[in-house]
Amino acid sequence: MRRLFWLAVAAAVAWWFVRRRGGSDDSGATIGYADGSAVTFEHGSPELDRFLDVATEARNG
Amino acid sequence: MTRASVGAVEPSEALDELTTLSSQIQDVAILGESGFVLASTGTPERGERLARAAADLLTVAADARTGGDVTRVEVRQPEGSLFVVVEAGRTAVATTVAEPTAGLVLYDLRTALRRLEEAPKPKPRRKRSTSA
Repeated sequence: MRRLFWLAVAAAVAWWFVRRRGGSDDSGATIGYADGSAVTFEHGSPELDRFLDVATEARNG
Repeated sequence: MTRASVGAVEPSEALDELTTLSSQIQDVAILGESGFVLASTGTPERGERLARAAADLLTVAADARTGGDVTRVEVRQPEGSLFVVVEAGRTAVATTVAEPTAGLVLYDLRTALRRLEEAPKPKPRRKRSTSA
């Protein structure tokens, strides 16, 4: 029973850690053009950092 | 009143409607053709900050891909998103709550821009032909 308890604690910690990492990656930018096309920059692309900088400054000042 | 002007509103009215209808939009500003603030929620400084952000985002977006006019920019962050929509020379820029319904926010911003009252443009005069 005690072993089961610690197993549940370990699973909860692992779940929290995965959720936390997933949340921090939840950034992106999408640009739409007049011709109907769109470009999306996901986490890890160098262009995204520029968009995030502007957005953060606009939100926080 | 002409049929084309039915439903047209002032920028401040459009903002009031927008913030009343959309619970996801936090701050919003409507900008004129040269980027000046026509109306905004919050303080004038907040409006100016949103105007600068819109100009910067449109510049970064234009740099990201050459060719093609940028009509919308959406930047998603865990704490919320920033939207810029360009339509008929006017721009709407808005901050939202976290994980907004992007399609709905874009629709509301576009609708607000479309409802703005347009200044009547003078009709070009047609030259009469002088042929005998």
